[in-house]
Amino acid sequence: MNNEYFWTSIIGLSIGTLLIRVSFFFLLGKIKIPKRVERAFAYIPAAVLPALVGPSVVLHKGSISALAGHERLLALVIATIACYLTKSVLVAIVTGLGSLFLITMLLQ
Amino acid sequence: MNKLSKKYFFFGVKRMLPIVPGVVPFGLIMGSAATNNDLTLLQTMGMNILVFAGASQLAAIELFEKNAPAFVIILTGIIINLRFIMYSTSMAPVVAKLDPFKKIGLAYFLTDQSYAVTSNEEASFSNHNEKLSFYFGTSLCMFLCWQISVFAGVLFGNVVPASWSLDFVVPLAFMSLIVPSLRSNTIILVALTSFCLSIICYDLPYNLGLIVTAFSALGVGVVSEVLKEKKQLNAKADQNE
Repeated sequence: MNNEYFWTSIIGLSIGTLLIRVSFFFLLGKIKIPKRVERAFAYIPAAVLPALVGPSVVLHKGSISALAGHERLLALVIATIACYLTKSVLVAIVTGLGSLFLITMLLQ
Repeated sequence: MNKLSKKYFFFGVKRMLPIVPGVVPFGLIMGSAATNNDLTLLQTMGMNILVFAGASQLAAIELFEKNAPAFVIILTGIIINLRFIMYSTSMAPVVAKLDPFKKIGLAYFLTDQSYAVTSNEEASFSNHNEKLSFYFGTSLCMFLCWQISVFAGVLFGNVVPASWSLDFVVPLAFMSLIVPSLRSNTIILVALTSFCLSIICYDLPYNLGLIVTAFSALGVGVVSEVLKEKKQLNAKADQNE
């Protein structure tokens, strides 16, 4: 990988990320954040994380023709329900990988 | 600062252990993805230590592959990591009295996992020192776990048989971060908007898809909250009449 391109991107990203992490460790008490903005902060994970899931699952071309290649989407739905019910990361991952494995084995 | 409490430090480590099975496969994928995209060991571990935020690193690797401009890579990663601002506001009171170096050091360790585990245990702390010790325990555990598993991913590649589809662990990990927080209709609306838009916007020029998606979904959340507030105010006004 081209060194200059790589390190420019990575150093930029790492400085930006550290600034975000450190932000309120220094700003606390120095600036007053409007309530509405503070509540908008709480939406950030919900606005970002599903966008990392969407393309990698929905646009993934699987091998199960009975599901039109969408076996990962089905496994994600199953895992999401399991995660919603148990609130457990471990259950989510085991259910997701397990159901994908079973779907592939049974329908291939 | 008082000395950290050993008891709470190890309590933090212990509470982190159930999260480890989600972190290790993610790290292995990260390490092997980096190697598959021709990153050297120095580049991979350098990125891993400097950035220390897996989601943005994976996105960066994917964008490197597509030869996206550096500013898009930086901006995309920053938006992915913008959620740390929420963790920063929440942990800030705990570190308020520390010197700047310690603040920066502790901020560096903020991750989804250490934050989630620490805030879940909120009721067990009777003072800031206990919470700080606990948080430091979760953080070190997370740091070591992540660095070692990525390193293993670089050395051994993806050793797990392909039929296990281990790379599916990455979307599962993100899903499991967000699902427990889906408590209000507005948050569910934001999450669904983000999920659907990300697919529609996937092919946007300059790989701007994630940036556009995140801001649109956030916008939907803010607007829906404003509308909800208005409705409540109107209902109140009707009652008073």
